[in-house]
Amino acid sequence: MNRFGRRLAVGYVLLALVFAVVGPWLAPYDPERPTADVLLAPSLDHPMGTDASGLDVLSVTVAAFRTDLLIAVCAVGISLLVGIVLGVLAGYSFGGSRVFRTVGVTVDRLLDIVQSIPVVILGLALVATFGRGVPSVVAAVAFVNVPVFARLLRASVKSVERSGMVQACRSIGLSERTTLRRHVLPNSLDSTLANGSIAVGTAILLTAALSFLGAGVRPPTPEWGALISNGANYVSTGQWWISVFPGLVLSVTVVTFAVAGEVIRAAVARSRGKAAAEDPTFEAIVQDEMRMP
Amino acid sequence: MSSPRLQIDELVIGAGEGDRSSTPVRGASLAIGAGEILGLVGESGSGKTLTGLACLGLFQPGVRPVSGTVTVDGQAISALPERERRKLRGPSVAMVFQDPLSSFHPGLTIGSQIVHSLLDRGVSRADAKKRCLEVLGEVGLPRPDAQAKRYPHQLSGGMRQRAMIALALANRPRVLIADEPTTALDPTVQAGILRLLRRLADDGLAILFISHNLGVVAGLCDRVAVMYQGQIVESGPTAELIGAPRDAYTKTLLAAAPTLPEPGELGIEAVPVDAPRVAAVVDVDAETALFDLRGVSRHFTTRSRGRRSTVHALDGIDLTIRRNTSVGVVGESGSGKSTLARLLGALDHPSTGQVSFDGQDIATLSKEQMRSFRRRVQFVFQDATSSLDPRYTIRDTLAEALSTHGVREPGEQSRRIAALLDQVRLPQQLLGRHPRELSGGQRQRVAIARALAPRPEVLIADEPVSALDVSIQAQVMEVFRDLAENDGLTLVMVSHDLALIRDVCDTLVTLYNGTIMENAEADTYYDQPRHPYSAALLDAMPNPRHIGRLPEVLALGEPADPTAPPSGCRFHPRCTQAQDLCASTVPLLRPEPGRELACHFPLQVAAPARKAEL
Repeated sequence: MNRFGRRLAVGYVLLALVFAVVGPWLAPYDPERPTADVLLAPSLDHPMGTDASGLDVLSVTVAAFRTDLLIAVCAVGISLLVGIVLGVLAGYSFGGSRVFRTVGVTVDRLLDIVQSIPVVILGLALVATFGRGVPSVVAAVAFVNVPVFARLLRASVKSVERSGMVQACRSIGLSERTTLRRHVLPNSLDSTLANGSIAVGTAILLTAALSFLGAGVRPPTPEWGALISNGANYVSTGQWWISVFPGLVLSVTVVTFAVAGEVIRAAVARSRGKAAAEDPTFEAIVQDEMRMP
Repeated sequence: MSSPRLQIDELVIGAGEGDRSSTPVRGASLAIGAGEILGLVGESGSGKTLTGLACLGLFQPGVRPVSGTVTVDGQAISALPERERRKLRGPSVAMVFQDPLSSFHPGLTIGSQIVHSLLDRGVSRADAKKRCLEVLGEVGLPRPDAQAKRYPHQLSGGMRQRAMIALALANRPRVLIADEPTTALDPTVQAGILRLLRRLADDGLAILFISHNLGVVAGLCDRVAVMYQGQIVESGPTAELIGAPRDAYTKTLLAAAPTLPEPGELGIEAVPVDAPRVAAVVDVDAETALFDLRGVSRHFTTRSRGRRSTVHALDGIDLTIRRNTSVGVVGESGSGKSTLARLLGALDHPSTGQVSFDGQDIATLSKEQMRSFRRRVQFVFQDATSSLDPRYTIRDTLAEALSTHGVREPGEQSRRIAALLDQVRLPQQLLGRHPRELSGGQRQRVAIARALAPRPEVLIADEPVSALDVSIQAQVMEVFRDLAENDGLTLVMVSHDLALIRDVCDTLVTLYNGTIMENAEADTYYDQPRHPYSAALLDAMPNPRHIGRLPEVLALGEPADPTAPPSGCRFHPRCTQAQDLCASTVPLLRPEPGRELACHFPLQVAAPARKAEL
């Protein structure tokens, strides 16, 4: 991915976030009120055509930014919080405490179990249990993402704990809690947080997938997966536009969130100064040292 | 000298782009003839490794040749296209790296990798197999046919490095580039590799030996070139250059290199073994004893492929550390040095036995007493970089250590921080910097300053300078010596470098395979090592004063496996003095004048009695 591509991706993500806020007002037609103009092909009046109930596809697609992004961002936010807590429990030794060791192993196994169930099936089951609607989709998407973040954090907590820093904290007499709060967590969060943006992409995909399968938000809430599912019946009879346009927007959104996540991760890694030797001041420092008594 | 095997003329190497570009090598020239070893000495960042790689026409990413020529065996490799260069690598010039584990393919056997390197050159499979066994034997691997079938991780460090050399030699190169080939090895193992390189050179190979260790270079190399900031500042025959250095930098480097005294040089009066005097090291009353270890063992259980095994990191340690002394803990890697340090610092618990501090068992300390212990006993780790929080400035790091122990008032804190920096000789301007903006030596000083923050009585340092350059090692050791001598600190220093800690330590505890071999006053120890293992350690230490004299190989083979400690005296399988008794009976730690000793047949004279053949 070259520099232009990366900028384009970040630009698109920002645009998507703007759409999520103002999308419904930008829509030329009401995205939720059916009209008599059913199954019109793309034209100047309806650039993406209309669907079987006469909804303007462009309007629904633009308005759906809010639904899909809201669900995805909320779900990722919740799973980040829960994942961080579980990741710490699973990863940190708390100074070799037996209780926390048991807790850690238990959390580990539970995450294993959750991860062993296919994501979409788990999501379907959750929505089936709690009923359709935005909150249950958020809960379902959040639930399947928790193990991802918990695993990431667990791994980085473990590697930070293995580094000398935690030993040093113990040897100067810091309590385990203080060590965890001040040193272990801040140094472990980087990769987990950067992964948040990537996860938003996959969360959008899962949201749409659930809707496509009929387990998503209630109609007529504008949503990409639901729209694609509606249009799927008409593709074979030639009305391709109902599924294709929202499908394109969905794909582009998922990919760009993943790319933006990579960009964020790279930026964070750079700012941490992974390679001190590249620091322009480094040579000067070495010379400082040579001159010292 | 006939035409040189390797010749470098005015080599300039550039790195980076735009405003970040630099010139790590600026006009280096050198030449090596057949049968000659040239030592290329300098500290990290001086351009040694880049020069070595350039001899094979190799450049790391972001690094490019700017000008100059490299001629290998009469062919200008620097002028050839990559395809042609590749043909020279192997038959003309080959390289041995510092870390053989990361240089070998982990999933192929040693033998198949050597065979592959030959097949690539058009050798038939049968010949390649024959040559493989031949070259493995040549580098001193016992039973080459068995070794060829093993994977890199199954070999010990020293054996692996020999295998790496075999791989390099397979195509009978005319020039060998050896980049710090022994730096990661124990001195006792290093000695054997150095002898191997010397023998190869005597058979006609031209070797460029890259090293930061002047002691090694003095013993091994015919000529030395000193590199500083990308330039060769001085070069000449080893004896001349080390005996009478002209360049200021060479002089600094030599002055910083630690040296060991010759046996008997200190003139310690030899005391008959049966003298009625009781040794000072064991004559300890409760007043002076700060740490007291009784029957301390530390075992770790490991599992590999479902099989449990017990690592005997420490076994039955009895040791007393007196107030206001500095104790060195020495031994090879895996001898239990670091485990001992961690037990003393209460960073780990003994499996059996007890560790007492100031008359009280550490295991029974209450929470309140433990806090006081943490204040009184501080730790300095080997890797300063990983022991400092990268997000904290130096000021934050020191302030945290102070406030943990009750110094919270800002004015008082700043005053203490300033004083701490002075104590470790760091300029005050560094306070606002992050660890990544400091050099390795500065980071270790910050770590020392942090340890000193709560005004401890004991400082435990685990290999505190082994990751640093020689000239910087000397500066940091100076700080430790100052603390031990002038500030009345009790110092426990773990080190594998006997020369380095010589000026700092009063007594030396020698560990092997988790047990104490000898515990002696430093002068006595250096002057008359009586345990064969101590003598082996001392003799394996490279010494810049030993020009053209390689360290002796007094300890046979490699350190014993800590999961299966040998019977009787743990050192007996490697000991040149061992007799039947040693294999059957564990020698007890007996007091002698100036030392405690666990050996059935201690050396009677300072000089080694017998030399092992390679």
